[in-house]
Order: sequence, then C-alpha cells, then structure tokens
Amino acid sequence: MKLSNSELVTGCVKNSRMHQKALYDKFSTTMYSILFRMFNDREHANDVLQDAFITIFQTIADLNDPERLAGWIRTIVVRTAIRKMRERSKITFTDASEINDETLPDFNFTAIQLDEAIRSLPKGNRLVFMLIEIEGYKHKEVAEILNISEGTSKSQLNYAKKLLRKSLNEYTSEYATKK
Amino acid sequence: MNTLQNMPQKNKNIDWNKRLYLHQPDEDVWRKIEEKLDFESKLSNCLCELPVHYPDLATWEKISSNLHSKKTINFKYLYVAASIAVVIITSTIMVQQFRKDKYIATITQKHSISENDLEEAAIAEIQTYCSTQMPACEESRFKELMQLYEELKAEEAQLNRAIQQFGDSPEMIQSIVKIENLKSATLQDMIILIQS
Repeated sequence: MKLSNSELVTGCVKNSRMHQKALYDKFSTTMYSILFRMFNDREHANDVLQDAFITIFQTIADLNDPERLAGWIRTIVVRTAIRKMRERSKITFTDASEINDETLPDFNFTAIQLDEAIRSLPKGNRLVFMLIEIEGYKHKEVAEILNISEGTSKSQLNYAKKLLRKSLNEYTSEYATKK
Repeated sequence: MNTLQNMPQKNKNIDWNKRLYLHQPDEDVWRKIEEKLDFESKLSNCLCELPVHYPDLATWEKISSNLHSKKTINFKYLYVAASIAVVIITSTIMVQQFRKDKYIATITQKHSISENDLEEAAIAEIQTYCSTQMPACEESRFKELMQLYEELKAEEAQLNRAIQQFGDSPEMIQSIVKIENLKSATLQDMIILIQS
C-alpha cells in the first residue's frame, strides 16, 4: 500500500512503526546516495543515515506542511552530514590556482565515472559541488551552511569542476588506451 | 577642443573606436568555451543519471532498535508513574480502611455506650417504678431476678478488672458476653413482671 506524505507524517507523529518504516523505505535510498557521495565511505554514510532518520522521527511533529516532507528530510540529512563531518575533521577548502585549465578533446564519461569522480574530490570542494549542482542549493545558502563566504563557495565550485574535468579526462584516456 | 565638447557622447566613442586597432582573440578561446559548454551539458545530463546507492539492511534495524529504546525510556517513565499511582491508591485505601475501622470502633463504642445507657435507663426506670411500691416489685420472683442482676453486674465488674490487670482471653470474653446476655434477659424478665 502506497501512503501519501500526509499519511506518512500523521502515522510517524503517532509513533507508528509501520509508518516510520514506510517513510524510511521511501526516502532512505535517495538520502543514502547523497551521504555516500559526501563521505565516500559506506560505514559513515550508514551511521549518518541512522542519526538523521532518528532526528527525523523525533522532530517530525514540528513539520507543519507534509508537502514539504522531501525537502525537510533532505535538509536534516545534509545538515546532519555536515555536522558529523565537522566532528570528524575540519572541512578544508583547497586553493584552485594550481590546476591548469587544460583542453579536453572529448567528454565521453558515464554517470558511474562521474559518481566516482565526485566522491574522489577533496572534502570541501565535494560538499560545495554536491550542494549546488546536485541538491540545488544557492551559493548564499551553501555559504551559510558551511560557514564560508559566497565568494569562497563560487571559487570552490569552479575548482571542483576543474578537478572533475581532470579526473574524468583521465578516466576517458585510460578507457581509450585500454581500447 | 570646442568641437569635441559640443559633439554628442555616442558619436565621440564611435569616433575613437574607429581610430583604435582591433585585436583578435586566440583561436583556442572559442574552442575552450565550446569545451566548457559541452562539459557543463554532459555534466548536467550525467548528474540526472547518477547511480543510486543502497544503505545496509542493518541500518533500519539500528534505527528501529534506537527508537525502541527511546520507547523503553517512555515505559520507564510510565512504570514510575504507575508505581506512584499504585502507592497513592494503596495509601488512600489504607487511610480509608483506617478511617472505616476507626468509625466502626467509634460506632461499636457508641453502641456499647448506648447499650449500657439503655441498661442503666431500664434499671433506673424499674427502681423508680418500684419506689411507688408497686405489688410486682414485692413479688419473690422479682426480688430473685433483681438479686441475680446485681450478682451478674458484680461478676461482670470483677471480670473487667481481671481483663484490665492480666489482659483478655477468649474464655474471659465469652464469659463477659454470657453475663451481658444474662443481664439483658434478667432485665427483660423484670420488665415483663412489672407490665403483667
């Protein structure tokens, strides 16, 4: 039986385990994918997913509009992830000046290669890239979440893209060589 | 100079631009722009197709058990609340029982007082009646009953003193009850004789 967001929220507010499991099943994969890309570590991603969903179930009564459920869950997951990242180690933002803007003849990469390339980015760039390009946050919001300036957010995104181009070019080159 | 000042601003710029040498960008620039646009386009397409990653099956079990333990804390609070409620209810019942016992004791005491009062009132009435030299009071049967009543009263007083000194026993209580019954029967017989 497929439950609506409104039914899911009402059931979770009443602490119904069936509704909690249904909500978890509906959103866990999307949220885990975000976390796995952020941490590039399955164990940490699972731990943060666990913490985030416990927070979700404990605070779901505060959600006034069930139509905002997906965004609300995403916000909790992202903020929990960043808090956990900060607890583990400082988030550093690497300087972009060292990367050459080299020319790339062909962009024949796949989504799987892109996924790997995103996960291999330095932590700070990875966060900015993911929040802006995948999660749709604005630079102003990212600056607020990560406690950086809007300028840093923009330069980090630019740097992340340069790094991605570089690593994806390497993938493509390796693939071409093997072929 | 005057001519330049009087010229419209737009015409002045056109004039200067016409005089300047035009520089050509490198041939690479457009290629780089094109590459970046291609990359951005490919990137946005691939971002929509990023693979889905699945959490461990154990993650839900952990969340569920964590929520369960939270529930246990609630049960603990419920248990404490229930214990407090039980203590309150028990003490209320005990207080009520104590009051009830006290009330019964009071009633019993009042009842015994009233019995004694009735007995004394009956004796007082019989004595008042006999003081008018009624013939029934002169009868030997009446005199025997009155003597029996006095003996029973004396015996009862003696038993009560013994109970006060040495404490009661089932036998002593039974004796008291017997004497009380005999006293009541004796008084009733005396009243019947007077009324006859």
